[in-house]
Amino acid sequence: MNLPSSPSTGPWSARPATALASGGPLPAPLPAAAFLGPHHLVHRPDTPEGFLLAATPPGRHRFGFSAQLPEAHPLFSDSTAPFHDLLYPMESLRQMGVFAAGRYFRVPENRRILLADCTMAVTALAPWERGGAGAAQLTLDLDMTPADVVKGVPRTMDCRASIAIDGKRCGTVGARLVFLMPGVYRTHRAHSRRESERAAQGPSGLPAGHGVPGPELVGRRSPRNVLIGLPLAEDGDSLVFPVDIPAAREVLPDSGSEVPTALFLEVSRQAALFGVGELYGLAPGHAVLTDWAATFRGFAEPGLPLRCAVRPHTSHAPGEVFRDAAGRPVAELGLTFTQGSRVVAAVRTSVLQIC
Amino acid sequence: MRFQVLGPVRMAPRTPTAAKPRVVLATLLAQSNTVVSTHSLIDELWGTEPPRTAGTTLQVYVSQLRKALLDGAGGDRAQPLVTQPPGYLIRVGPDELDLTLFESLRTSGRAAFEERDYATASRLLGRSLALWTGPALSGVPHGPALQSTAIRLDELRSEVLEQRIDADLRLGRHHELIGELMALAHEFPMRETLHGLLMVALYRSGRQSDAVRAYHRVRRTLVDELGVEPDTSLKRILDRVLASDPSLAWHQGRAAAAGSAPERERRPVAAVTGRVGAAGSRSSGSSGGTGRPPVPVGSGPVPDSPADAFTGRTDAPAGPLLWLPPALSDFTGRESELTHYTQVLTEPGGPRVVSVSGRPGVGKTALAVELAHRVEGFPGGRVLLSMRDPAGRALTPQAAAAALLRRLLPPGAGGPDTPPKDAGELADLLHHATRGREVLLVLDDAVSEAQVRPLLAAAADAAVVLTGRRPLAALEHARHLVLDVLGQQEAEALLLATGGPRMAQDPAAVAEIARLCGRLPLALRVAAGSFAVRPHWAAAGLARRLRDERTRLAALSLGDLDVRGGLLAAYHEVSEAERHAFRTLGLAPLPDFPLWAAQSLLGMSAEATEERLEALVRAHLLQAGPAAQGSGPVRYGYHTLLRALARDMLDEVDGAEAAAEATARLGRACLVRARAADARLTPGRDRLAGVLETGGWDLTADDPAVVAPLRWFQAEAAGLLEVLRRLHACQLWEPACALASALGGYFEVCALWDDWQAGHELAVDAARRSGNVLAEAALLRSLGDLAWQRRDNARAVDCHRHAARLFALADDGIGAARCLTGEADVLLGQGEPVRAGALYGRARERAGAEGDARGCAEAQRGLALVALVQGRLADSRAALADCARAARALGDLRLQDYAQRSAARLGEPAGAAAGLEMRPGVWLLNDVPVTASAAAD
Repeated sequence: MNLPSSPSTGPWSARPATALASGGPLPAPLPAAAFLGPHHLVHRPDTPEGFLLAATPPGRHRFGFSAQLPEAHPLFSDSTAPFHDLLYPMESLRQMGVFAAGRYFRVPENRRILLADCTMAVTALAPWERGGAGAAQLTLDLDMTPADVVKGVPRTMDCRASIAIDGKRCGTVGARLVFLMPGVYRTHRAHSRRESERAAQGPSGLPAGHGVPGPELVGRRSPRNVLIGLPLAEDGDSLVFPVDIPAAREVLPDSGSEVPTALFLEVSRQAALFGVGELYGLAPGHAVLTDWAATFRGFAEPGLPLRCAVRPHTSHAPGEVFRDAAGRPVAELGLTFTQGSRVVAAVRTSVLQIC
Repeated sequence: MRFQVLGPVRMAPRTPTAAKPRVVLATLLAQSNTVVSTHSLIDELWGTEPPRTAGTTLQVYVSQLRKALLDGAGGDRAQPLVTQPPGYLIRVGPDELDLTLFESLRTSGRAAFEERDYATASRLLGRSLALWTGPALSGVPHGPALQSTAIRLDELRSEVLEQRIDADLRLGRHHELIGELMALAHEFPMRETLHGLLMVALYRSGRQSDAVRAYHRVRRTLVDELGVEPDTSLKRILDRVLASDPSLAWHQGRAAAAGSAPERERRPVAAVTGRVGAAGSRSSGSSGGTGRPPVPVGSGPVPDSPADAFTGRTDAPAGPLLWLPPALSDFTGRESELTHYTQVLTEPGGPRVVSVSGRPGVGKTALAVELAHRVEGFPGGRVLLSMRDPAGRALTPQAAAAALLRRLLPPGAGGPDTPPKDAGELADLLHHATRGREVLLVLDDAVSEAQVRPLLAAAADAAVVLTGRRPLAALEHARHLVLDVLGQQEAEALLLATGGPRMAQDPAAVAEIARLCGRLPLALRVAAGSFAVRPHWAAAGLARRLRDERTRLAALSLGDLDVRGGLLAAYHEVSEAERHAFRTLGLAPLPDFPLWAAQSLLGMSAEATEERLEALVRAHLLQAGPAAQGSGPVRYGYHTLLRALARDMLDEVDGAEAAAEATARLGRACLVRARAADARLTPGRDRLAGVLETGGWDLTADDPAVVAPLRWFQAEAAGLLEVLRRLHACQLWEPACALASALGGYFEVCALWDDWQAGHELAVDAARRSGNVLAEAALLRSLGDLAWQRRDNARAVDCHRHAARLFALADDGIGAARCLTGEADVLLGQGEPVRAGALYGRARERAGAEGDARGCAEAQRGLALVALVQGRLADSRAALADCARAARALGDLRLQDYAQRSAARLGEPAGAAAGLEMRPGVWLLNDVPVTASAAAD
């Protein structure tokens, strides 16, 4: 069964975190509130009832999201490449989707909100560049479309947004949210946990004594933000990285009892940047993800070891890169997140060498 | 014939429009019933640089092709395109592919020729040539295999053609062959065989000197181009011509007796064609043959143009009459129309008159010609007649009947030498010429029902396709097709087909060019043609050249193809009053406009305006359609190129002053409606509502702007913004400011940030240029709200403070007080409830003193929020109640509902933690300083 899954309960969830399945005590996650900073979400009514009465019949709703991109954030401002962090709009979309689900789509409080898949694409690179005068303004033009509506309540919702920075269109981001009844969620979660426990043993962090790559090799400047260990073994044309979940929970938002969604983006970015250095000889410190698409296939357990395997895109000859219109190399990679033999997420991404 | 490769590659009932699937089809058909390997197909499609996804993409093309192959087929029909390692195979029946039939006819024709049955040979070879509709495998890009196959097939065709001419010469048709041979000699200046045949035909026609000249022409070409002398056989013919060799001349008696060319006569021709050995040895001593007499040329329809003769279609004794321009090898799209009207034209017993109308350049004639070529049947012939003379004047029905008669029954083929002048006699003759004959007539560019009705009555048995700019709606029994522009995909396909392979390198530019040409086929062809003949251009460069509406029409001109000229013809056909309306309405906003906008531009009554608009729609100078929401009044619009023409002509004929006057009228009409709608959406908000008198322009209570203001704004906002830009461009500062201010409420409640900013910044500029302090203040305050929505706090505060100073200068206490509320909203969002509370308090006091209900409601809203974040829920509730009361008094249902639901939310335990609704629909999320006591209260 291809379960829509993976983490997230939303930024304002009052639900208590459940006990972890195994492993030692994990650090308390940062509240999502502190992750994005203050921001506005503005409903764009396009019906008379939505305009006058904030009535919410099931159907598409549009929103505008606006926030200042952080200038001195411990994570978002820590990349070696002089670009704003892709994680910020991705996380913004997710959090806005979660908020709107309850407020505009009448998804009950007790539903568990999960992410089935998400995509992101950079359509113009220049606006992403940091260093202009003053804080950059991020705008998302959001479309949220509910589906599988039962008794007026959707079971899934497609969230799509175009990204603009300082008024210039520069990307797109999308995600599909799934709203699970608590009982269904518990059943699937327990099943996933049993599967992971059968397949994977050991602590959720790095193996004892295992080395960590220098931050510049994963596109970061601070060692605090390095979330992967050195490759475990070279398996054919793949590089397999252990994921440091405890470290991730210190720097990423909204972890709760689950592996946070942001982990998959951040870890896949770090593994991809390290990977393009190893597999293609590119310079990770001057590389940026321009396309990213993930599909989640089950719950990852935060108390169990998580691995991320990186390999060249299957249609490429090993070592080959494409070049964009400006002649810069672009490497395409496939990444697989596993707990033991169980695949929990599959990611495709493109990495552009800035030169 | 289901599949065609002898010409443009086609497949019935529908040929894939995309080039790549057609390449796959062509490659498979060229080797039908044989497996073509995947590698060969990839080589054919992409040459030496296949994309990394070549295999998958090929599968997609095959899949598209399979779908097309089963289109229109019954459910039980087997898929002819099958996968068979190492590639694919297409199963084609013997009568399904024109190439198969061509091969078969060619073999039979050659056999008949060798048996000296020249009449049969000529007929069979002529039929095989009639299968050709253009260069082999045309209309698709050629890879290595298709290239060599096309060369081979074209060479085969030349051989067959020479042999047919050879047979015709032996049948004594030298007079008729001269035109065809001259055209061929011109086309193939170094093909000695053809020149030899031409010399013989000329000689036999008594034109000995021309025969000698023909020799010298080809000799000069060969010497100049290749440095070689003609071969000996050609020299021998020259010698015999110069010697007036009687054995080279035509001898009727022997030919008639033999049914074929006699030995003495055949020899030199065989020598010319290079088939001396085979033909000579076989014919030696023979005087027999089939005994069939040669079919007199005069007994059948005669080709009237070298092109018809060249195709070999009409000189075969049993061939149908064909008087059509050749089908366009790159004709693209319109498949559903072609399929439908093919059926209509062949429907037994049904009305077989199809009237195609549409704006200039939309491809009416091209469609009619394509239809005439595609439709099967009509052994009596297919004839096109232009219903205008070369000067563009409409033919009289008599002139049209006479011209038609000449084509159907030429003099010498049963037709009169001079058509009668009497209309009745003409009609009788036309009736006689078409009765029971299964003829298809294409009457092109017809101007009126009266012009064509006599022809339709006389040729009642004929199927007729009419084309014309105006629909000939009054014609009885006609099926009407109003042809629209191509779909976006079809338009792009046409650009790719006509622009050459370079065009395909930039799909985004191709899409833009298609849009800029308004998907009008003529414009697309001109754009693609301009591109094709300029190898140094990139598609993006062409798009850039077309982007400017003012120069677009000038850029769409190529040789004798002139888009502007075509559009102007339609413009000049309407009355001066309609031309004036056409020009003036070019000032209406894009993409479409309602009746009231047209009425204001024309300065006429609604009824008169509607009549004028409908006249322009009938002339295809305007288009009409329903509102975007699917209901509501009709909206009118221009095709993008016609709008460019309208603007051109407005500048040329009416001048800038008239344009400014019309724009001012339009601006006033927009302002009246925008204010009425705004007063319903955000009552009391617009501080410029009293500026610029709009009395006398009152709206009725059932005006859409009053009845459904949100919907009205949604339909009109883009146009209103364009009008605002135009007002600014015309330096109509005051209306520009007033209109922007009236739009502000809609932009704010729907958070249309880009439009809001663009419109207001333009209007601020107008206010500054005109020194209008109040307008600048009102617009800056609105921009402060915009900055606040976008969390640009510094700018928001700047705008509100600057606006407050300007309001004070303009002595507008209400406006100044509202600026305090705006600044307080910013402070509250920055986590400074105390300072915010102080500002809200001052704003409430001033608003109360000024009697500003909206100001009071907004200030109470802010005070309620401050109380909420400070944990004083009872105070919050009380302030929200005051806000709701003030909103009710103001008639602002949206604000009233906001206050009520916010008050209800105070009772929810986690309500505040789920975000703070600062204004209706505007949520402040994260970091809201909600105290623990707030949740506990």
